Amino acid sequence: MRPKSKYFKKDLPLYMANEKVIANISRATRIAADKRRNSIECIKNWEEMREAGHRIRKSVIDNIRSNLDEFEKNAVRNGIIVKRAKNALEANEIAVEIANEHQAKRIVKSKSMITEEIGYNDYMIKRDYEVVETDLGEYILQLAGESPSHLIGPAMHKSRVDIAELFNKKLKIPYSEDPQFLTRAARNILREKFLSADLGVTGANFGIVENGSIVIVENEGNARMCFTLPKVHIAFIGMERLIPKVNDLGLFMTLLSQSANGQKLTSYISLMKGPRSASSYDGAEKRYYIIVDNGRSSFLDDDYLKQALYCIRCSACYNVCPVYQNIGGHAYGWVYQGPIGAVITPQFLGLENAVALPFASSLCGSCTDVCPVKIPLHHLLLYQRNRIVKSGNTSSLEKSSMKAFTSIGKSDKKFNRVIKLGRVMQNLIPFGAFVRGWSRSRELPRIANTTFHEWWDSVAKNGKSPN
Amino acid sequence: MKLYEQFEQELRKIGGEAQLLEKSELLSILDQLHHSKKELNFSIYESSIMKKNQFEKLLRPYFSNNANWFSEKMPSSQNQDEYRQQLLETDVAIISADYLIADSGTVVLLQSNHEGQLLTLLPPKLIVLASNNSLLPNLPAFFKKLSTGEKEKEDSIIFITGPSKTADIEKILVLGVHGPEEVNVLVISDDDEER
Repeated sequence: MRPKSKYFKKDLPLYMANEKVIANISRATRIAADKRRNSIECIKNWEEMREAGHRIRKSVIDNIRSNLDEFEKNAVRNGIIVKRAKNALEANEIAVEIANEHQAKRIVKSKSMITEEIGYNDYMIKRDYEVVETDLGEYILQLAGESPSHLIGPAMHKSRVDIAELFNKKLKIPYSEDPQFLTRAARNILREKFLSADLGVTGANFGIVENGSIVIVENEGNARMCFTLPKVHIAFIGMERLIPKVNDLGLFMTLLSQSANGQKLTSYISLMKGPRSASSYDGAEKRYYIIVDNGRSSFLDDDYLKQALYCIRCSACYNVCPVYQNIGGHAYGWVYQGPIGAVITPQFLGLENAVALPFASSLCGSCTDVCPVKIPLHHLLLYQRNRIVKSGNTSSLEKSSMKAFTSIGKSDKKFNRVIKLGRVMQNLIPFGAFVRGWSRSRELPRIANTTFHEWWDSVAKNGKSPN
Repeated sequence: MKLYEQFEQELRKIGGEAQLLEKSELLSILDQLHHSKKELNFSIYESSIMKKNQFEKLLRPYFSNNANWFSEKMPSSQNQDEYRQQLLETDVAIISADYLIADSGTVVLLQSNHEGQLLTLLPPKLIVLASNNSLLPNLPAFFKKLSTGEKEKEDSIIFITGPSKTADIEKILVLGVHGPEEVNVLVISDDDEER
C-alpha cells in the first residue's frame, strides 16, 4: 500500500469524523485489552517471562547476521529453498519467479504483515495472478477493497452490519448479520480456493535458528491450509523474526498468544521443518523461505532503536493505547500502527515521511507496560521525536518559537520583561488564535496579575504582598 | 488424577471436550458420541503413536469396513485426488495424540514432514485418542521431553488447542472457521490403573 503517514495531521480529522468506525474500534480494543489483562492476572511469573523474552530477542538481534546464516544453513539442510531479499521489489520479483516456475495461477495466503509491507498482493494481481486472502478478517477487507486497521483483527473497524451488507452484495448470499452464517459462507468459498490453489503464501511468526524450522501461530486453520494443500509454499520471513532454540519456543508461544488475544495458546501452532517427503499424504512438495530486509538492517546501526526489532507483532500495545483506541489503525497511514508503528514507521519510510507519528502520543507508557518483550516503547517515541527535531524536520514556526524560547528562558531579565509585556497584551490580543492547535481544545493559561517572584520580593522587602 | 482434571477443565473452557475412560469403554463411548447421528463417514489415521498405544487394535473390530484407514506412509498406488475426496467426505476424523498439555488443554502431534495433517483440518469433527501417560503438566515439561528424545528432535510439531475459531466479526466467537468445529479428546487409562 502507498504510505500516507506524511499526511497524518491533515487526514486525522477525516478519520475521526467517522464516528461509527471509531466506536467499533474503541469497543474492540477495550474488549481485547480486558481479555489480555484478565488472562495474564492468572500467570504468576509473567514479569519473569517478559524479562526472558527481552533477553532472548536481544541476544538474537545482537548477532542477527550470524543467526540468519545459521538459520538458512539449517533450513537448506531440511530441503527448503531459501532466498534473501534486500527490499520489497526484490522480494516480489523472487515471488513472481517462483510462481512462474510452477505455473501458478491461483494463490491462497494467510495473514502476513510483511506481505502487506512489500505490497505483495497488488504486485501479483497486477501481473494477472489471483491472490485470495483466507484469514476471515483479511478476506472481508479484500472484498471491501480496504487495508487492515489492526494487526490481529484486521477488519476490526467494521460492524456486522457492514459485513452482512458486503457479503450480500459481493457474494450474492442472503442478507444476515449472524456471525456464524457469515463465517460459514466464507468457509465454503475459501475451502474451494484452498483445494484448487497452486501456491500457498504465509508469513512466519518465528524462525528457529538451531534447526531452520519456522513456526506459524493462528486460530482459524487457514494458514495450515495454505502450507499443506497447494503443491508449493512460500513463507515470507522478516529477517528479525528469529529465536535461538526449539526450547525457547514454549516461552514465545505463550507470550504471543497471551499478549495478542488473552489466550493460553492459539488453536493451531505449527512448527514445520521441510517440504513433504515422497511417502507423505500431505504437505507442500516445494517450500521456499523468502527472508526480507526492506529496511530492518537500518535499525541495527542504532543501539537504542534496534530494540524495536524485538517486536513479535502481538498488537498488545495497539489495544491499550489511548491514541489508537480513538483514531484507529488507518490514520497511521501504513501497515504498522499503534505505538510500535509510530516508532518504526519513521525509520522505514524516512523521518520526513512520518514526522507526526511519534508526536501523536501522551507518553502514558501503557504500551511499554504491556509489551511482552519489554521494548521501551514510549521511550523510543521520545527518542524518535528527538531524532526528528535534530534532523530539521519540524515546522519553521516550531523552530523559530523554540529559538525564541531558548533565548528568553536563558535570561532572567528577558523573561521578566516578556511576562510584564504579556500580562498587558493578553487583554488586547487573542494569543490563542496563534496557537489553534493548542487552544482548539484547551484554555490558554493567563499570566497572573502578580507572579510568585514579584510577591516574594515584595514580602521580603516590605513585609507584605504587593498591591 | 489432577493432570487429567486440569486438562479437561482447560479444554472445556475453550469449546472442546474430554473424557477419561478405560480401554474397554472406548467403543461404547464412540458409539455414544455419534448415537443420534445417521450414517457418518469416519477416517482414521494409524500413526506410530496410535500403534504404540495399541489403540488401532481397539478400533479395528468396529471400523475395519466402514472407515478410511490411513497409515503414515502413503502407498504408491494412492491417488492424491481420491485421498482428498475421502477426506472431504469425512465427518469424523480419529487420530492419536503424542502428548497432552494439561494447563492449556492442548493436543500435541509429532510428525515427520506432514503425515496426517489434513485429517486434523478438513473434517468437521475431530476425535483424539490419548494415553493418560501422555499427559504433561505444561509446555516446559513438553519441551524437556522433546530435548531428551532422539527421534522427536526430527519431527515437525502441531499444537492443537481446541476447535478452529475466529472473532474477526465484532469480536464475537465463532467456532469451526476452516478447521474442525468439534474436538473431543478421549483419554484412555490402562485397565489396571485407578481412575
